[in-house]
Amino acid sequence: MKDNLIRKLARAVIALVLLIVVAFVLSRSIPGDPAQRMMHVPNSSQAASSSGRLLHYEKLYRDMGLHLPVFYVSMSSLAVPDSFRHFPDKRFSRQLCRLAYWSGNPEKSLEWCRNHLSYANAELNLGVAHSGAEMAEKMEVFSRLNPAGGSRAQKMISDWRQLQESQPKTHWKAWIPVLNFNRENQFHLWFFGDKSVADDRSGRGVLYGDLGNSWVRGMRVTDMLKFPFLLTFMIASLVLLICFPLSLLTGAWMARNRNNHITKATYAFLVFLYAVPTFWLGTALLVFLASPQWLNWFPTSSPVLLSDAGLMAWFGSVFHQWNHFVIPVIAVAYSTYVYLVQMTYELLQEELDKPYVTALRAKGCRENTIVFRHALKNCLSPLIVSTMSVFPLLMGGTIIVDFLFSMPGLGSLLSGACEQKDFPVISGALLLCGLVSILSFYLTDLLNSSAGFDSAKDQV
Amino acid sequence: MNKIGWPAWVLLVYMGLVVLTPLLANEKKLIRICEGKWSFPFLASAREYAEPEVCKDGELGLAAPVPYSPGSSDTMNMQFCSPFEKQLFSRNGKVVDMPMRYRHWLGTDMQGSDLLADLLYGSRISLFVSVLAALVSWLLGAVLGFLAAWFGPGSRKVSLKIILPLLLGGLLLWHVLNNFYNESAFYTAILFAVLLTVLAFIVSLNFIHWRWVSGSISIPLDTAFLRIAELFSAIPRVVLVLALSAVFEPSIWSVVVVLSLSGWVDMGRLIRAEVSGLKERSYIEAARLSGYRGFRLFTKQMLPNIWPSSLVILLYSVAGNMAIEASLSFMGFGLPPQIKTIGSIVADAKIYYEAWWLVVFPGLWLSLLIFSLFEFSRRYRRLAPD
Repeated sequence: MKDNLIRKLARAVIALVLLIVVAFVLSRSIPGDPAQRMMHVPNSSQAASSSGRLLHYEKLYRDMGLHLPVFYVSMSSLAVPDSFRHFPDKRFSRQLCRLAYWSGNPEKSLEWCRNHLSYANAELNLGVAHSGAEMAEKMEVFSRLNPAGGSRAQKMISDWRQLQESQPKTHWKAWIPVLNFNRENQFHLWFFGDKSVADDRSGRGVLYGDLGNSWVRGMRVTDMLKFPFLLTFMIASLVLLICFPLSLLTGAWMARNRNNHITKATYAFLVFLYAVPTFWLGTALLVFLASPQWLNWFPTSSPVLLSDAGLMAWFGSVFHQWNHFVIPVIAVAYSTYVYLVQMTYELLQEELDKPYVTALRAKGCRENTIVFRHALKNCLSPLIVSTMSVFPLLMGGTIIVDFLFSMPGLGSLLSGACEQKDFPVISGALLLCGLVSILSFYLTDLLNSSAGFDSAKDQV
Repeated sequence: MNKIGWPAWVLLVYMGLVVLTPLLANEKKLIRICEGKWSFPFLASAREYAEPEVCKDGELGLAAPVPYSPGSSDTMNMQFCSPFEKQLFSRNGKVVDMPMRYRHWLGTDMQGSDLLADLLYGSRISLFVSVLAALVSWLLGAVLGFLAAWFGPGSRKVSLKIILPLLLGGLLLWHVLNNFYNESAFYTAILFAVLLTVLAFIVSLNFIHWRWVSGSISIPLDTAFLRIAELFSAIPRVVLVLALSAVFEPSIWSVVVVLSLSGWVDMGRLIRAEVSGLKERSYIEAARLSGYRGFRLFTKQMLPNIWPSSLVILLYSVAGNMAIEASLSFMGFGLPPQIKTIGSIVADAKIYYEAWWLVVFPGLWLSLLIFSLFEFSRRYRRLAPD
C-alpha cells in the first residue's frame, strides 16, 4: 500500500514538473522583448528623456533577469561565452558575437566593443558586416585609408591590432563546445525567486506564489488571478456536486426501466444534447431567457463582485447575486450531466447482467433495491474516476461560459490577456488550471486505492 | 451504409453541400448565355469579376439556388428575418416586394448578408480546418503512440555502445545550431558535427572494449509518453488552445496547428493501447519469425488492425475540433475576423439579441453535424467489434 502511494506521489510530482516547464516555456516564447513590453506599463516610473528611458530599460532588463542564461544547462563555445548573447542591446550583442567568433579572444573583444563599437559603427558603418571576417576587412580598409587619423581612430586601430591574432574566417576556438552549468539562470529566478531583489513589486518566485507581473497592467499576476480563478473553480465544483448525484439517479432510473419507451426517448434526447456545443446553448439561454425581448426571467448584466474587500465580502457578493449564476451553471452543467448519465447507464447495464443480480432476484429482493443499492455501489469506483477525469473539460466549459456571460471569471480574463498577448497572465492561468487538475487526479487515485467499496462483499 | 443508417446519409449530404457550395450559393450567375456566347461567371475570382455588360437581346442565365454570396451586403434588407417579415427588393432601381426567387430564407444579419449562404460557406471552412487538424493530430498521435508501445511497456534496453555516440551527436548538433546559425560556416559546421558523430559510432562499435563500462540503459519511452499525455489532458483544452493562439497570428494554418497540438493526446493513447495489445498476439510473433520486420510489419500486419478504431476516433476528433473551433471564433480568436464562421455569427447574435434567427439556425446546423458525426462513429464502433 505504501509502495503504491509513493508511486502515485512520484507520478503527480513528475506531472507537476512537466507542467512547470511548459508554463515557463510558454511565458518566454513570445516574439518580442519582455522588457520592452514592461516599459509601456502605466504605473512604472516613466522618465521623459531618452537617456533616462534607456537607463530604465536596462534596469528593467536586469531586474527581470533577461541577461541570464535561460536554463541550468547551456551550451556555448570556447570563443563565445553564454553571457555575450544576453546583452540588452541586441545589436551590440550580435556584433560582439561575430567579433568573438572571428578573433577567438572573448575578453579583448568585449573590451574593444565597449570602447570603440559605437564609434566604429558611426565612422565606417561596421553594422553592415555580416561576420567577423567582413568586419576585419572593413577595419583594414579604414586603417589603410586613414594612416594618420585622429587619436580616437588611432586608438581604435591599435586596439584592433591587439585583437588580431590570426586570419581565419572563424577562429578554431569557436568549434569547441563548452557545456555550462549555470546556477543563476532565468528559470531559477522565475521559479525560486530572487531573495536579494524581493520587494513588494517583484521577485518572490513561482514556488512561493508569485507568478510575475502583468505586461499590460503591471499588477502582480497572483492578485489578478485570485478571484477570477476562485469564481471559475467554484462554479466548476458546484456543477460537479450537482451533476454527480443527479446523473447517478437518472442513470440508475433509466437502467431500471430499461425497456420502457420513455427511457429510450429520454436516452435519445440526452445523446443529442451531448452534441450541442456549450457556447451555443449558453447563448440561446441568454437570448431567450434573459433578455427583455423574450422571457425576462434572469438578469442580463454581469455580476459585480467585490474583489478589493477580502474573501468574505467577495463570497457575500456572490451569494447576494445568485440569480446571475443560474443560467451559467445550467449551461456548464448539461454536458457533464449527459456524459455521466451515459456512463452510469452503460456501466449499470453491464452490472445488471452479472450472476449475483439473478441470485438477488431469486432471493426475492426488490428491483429498486437491487439497482439503487447493490449494483450502483459496485459501479461507483469507475464512475468517480471518470468524473474526476472530466474535470478539465468542465473547467474549459466554465471558461467559455464565463466569457459568454461576461462574468468576472477566468474566461474573460484569459481572453483579454490573449488579445493583448499578456504572457505572464496566460502562463499563470495555465499553471493554476494544470495544478488543480493534477491535484484532483492524484486525490482520485488515492481515494480509489485506499478507501473503497469492497465490491466482493456486496455480491451475495 | 445502410447498416449505419441516418448519420451516414446526413454526412453524405453534408459532404455534397460542402463540395458544391460555390455552385449553391453565389451572387454571380452560374451560366450566362449572351448573344449565343456561353460564359460561366461564377468561376471568375473576385478581382477579375466585373459587372457584365447588358446584353442587347436580353440574356439567358442560370443563377445559383441561393443567389447571395457570404459577406455581401444587401442594403435593402438589413436585420430582417425569414418568412415572418416582409423583405424588400430593388429591381432596376425601384423598391418592390421581395420575389420568391431572391428571398432570404433564413434571414440576414447586420450587414444584410444572407444567413443561408453564410452557413454554407462557414461550415465549409470549419470542416476543412477540423478535418485537417484531426489528420495532423492523428499522425502525431500515431507516431508517438506507436513508438511508446513498441519500445515499452516497461522499457527496452539500449546498449551504451549506441547511446553514447548518439548523445555526443545530439550535443554537437545543439552546439552547431546554437552558435553557427547565422554564420557563414554553418554548413561546414553541420558537416563537422555529422562526421564526428559517425566517427564516434565507428569507434564505439569496433574499437572500444566495453568490458569495463558495459551495460545498457533503459529508456522509459512508454512512461514518458504516458506522463506527457497526462499533462496535456490535465490542462483544459480551451486554456491550451487560447494560450497557443496567442503565440501565433490569426490565420487558417495557425488554427490547424493549435487544434492539432492540443488534441493529439486521445489518439496517441488509443493507438498506444492498440499496438501494445497487438504486439503480444501470436500472429505478430509468427510474422516476425518469418521475416517481416520494421516498416513492413507495421504496414502489412498492424495497420489493418489499427484502422477501424482509428477511424472511430478520427471522426470523434473531427467533431470535437469543430466545436472548439466554433468556440474559438466565438471568442474572437482563431480564424481572421473577415471570414464568417458559425462561431462569429453566434457572437453577433449575442449582441443583437432581437435576431433570434441568428441564434437558432447556426446552432441547430452545428449541433446536427456534430451529432451525426458522434452517431456515425458510435454505430461504426458497434458494427466492427474487436
